[in-house]
Amino acid sequence: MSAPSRRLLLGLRLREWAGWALIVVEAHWRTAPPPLRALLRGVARFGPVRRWIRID
Amino acid sequence: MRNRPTALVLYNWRGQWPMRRWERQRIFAWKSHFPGRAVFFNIGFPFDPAWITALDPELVLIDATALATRHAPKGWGALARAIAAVPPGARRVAAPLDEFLSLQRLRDFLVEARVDLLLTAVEPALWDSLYPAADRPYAIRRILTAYIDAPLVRLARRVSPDLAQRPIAVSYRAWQAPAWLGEMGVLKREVGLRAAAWADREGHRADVAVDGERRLAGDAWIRLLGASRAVAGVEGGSSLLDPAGDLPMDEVAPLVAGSGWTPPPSTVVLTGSAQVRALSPRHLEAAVTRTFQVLVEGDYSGVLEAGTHYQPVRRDLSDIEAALDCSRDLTQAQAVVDRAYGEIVASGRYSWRTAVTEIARQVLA
Repeated sequence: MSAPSRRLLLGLRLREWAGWALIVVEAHWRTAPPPLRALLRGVARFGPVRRWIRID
Repeated sequence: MRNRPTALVLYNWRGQWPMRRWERQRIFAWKSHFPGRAVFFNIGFPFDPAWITALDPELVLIDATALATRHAPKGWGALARAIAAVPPGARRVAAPLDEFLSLQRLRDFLVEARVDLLLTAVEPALWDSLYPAADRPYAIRRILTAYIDAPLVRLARRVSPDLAQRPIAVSYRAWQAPAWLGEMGVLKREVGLRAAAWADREGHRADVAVDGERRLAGDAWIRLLGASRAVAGVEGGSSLLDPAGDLPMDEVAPLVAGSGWTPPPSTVVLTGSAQVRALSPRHLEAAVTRTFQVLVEGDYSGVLEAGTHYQPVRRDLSDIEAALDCSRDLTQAQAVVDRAYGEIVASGRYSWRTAVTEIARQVLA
């Protein structure tokens, strides 16, 4: 067995950090007032962001 | 050649922040205590399975949050893709919680994913009924739902004065218990209501919420425990077994507070010692904050001993007021919490360091 490449490890670590940043954003969006949440959902529908951030 | 083993921790987390402290501890304890490199992988986000294959880990830990996708609308496919990408030589460990839910799907997964070791909080007497030996090509090891780590002990030391200096007489929190928890769910709610009624009658200050209100996450729960002389409680678990996954798990699930709900025919109602019960993380947290525990009598995974580490209450709650009254004798109560701290916390027997080290040693041997 060979050790995993540094590039892969760095990439996975960056993915983790980005994931937690998104989770914090999602948590705030979920507690946003309903009109703002509806607006964000509408905007997100036009782009790839909906796939990455769960607003519902 | 590599000289450090790699552990891959698969978990699933979206949209909730802050996390409950014990859940964060459970997932990330491997970073501090695994004797090698720990890589964390959230299957809740899109990924390329080739990343997992390229990582070539020696050990894969499938966390309870990843296994919980079996009864969630999203994520089960992601777990299957991740496991399919794990190289065949890797040792696989699964650590489910709430095994009474969608049990058959979990059993099937453990076999299909070629899991080597199942970590369960269920007491050994129930292993054969939940995981029949004939269909069990994996080993089983008992774990607790949570353990103690050094940051928790340091935090508790800062926020937990002696009992005499604490402003709150009794505290308790419970979520909106769904009806499918059965008698266990009723107890979770009732024990809090009775504690609040006791405090109200005696003129004490209480901080009790039983319907998921005033939910506390992160350090806030530890701070509440540290400000409370007593905390009420009951073992975690359920008195319903749901092999087929027919229980309603979404937001419209009927609540214990409601009435007239009948479990689906596929579920099994458990009574007495057949109920799935285990020590909850909160019981260890209360031991760390030296809070006097008034608990419904039970085994508490063999960790807590009635009369020694907590004040027991009968399952019909008929003596809960008398048990709560014991917290008013501060000398006696302080002796109980100090003994619990010494035997459970200071001993190091229930630390994440010990648990992760022993699991890694068993799996990688």
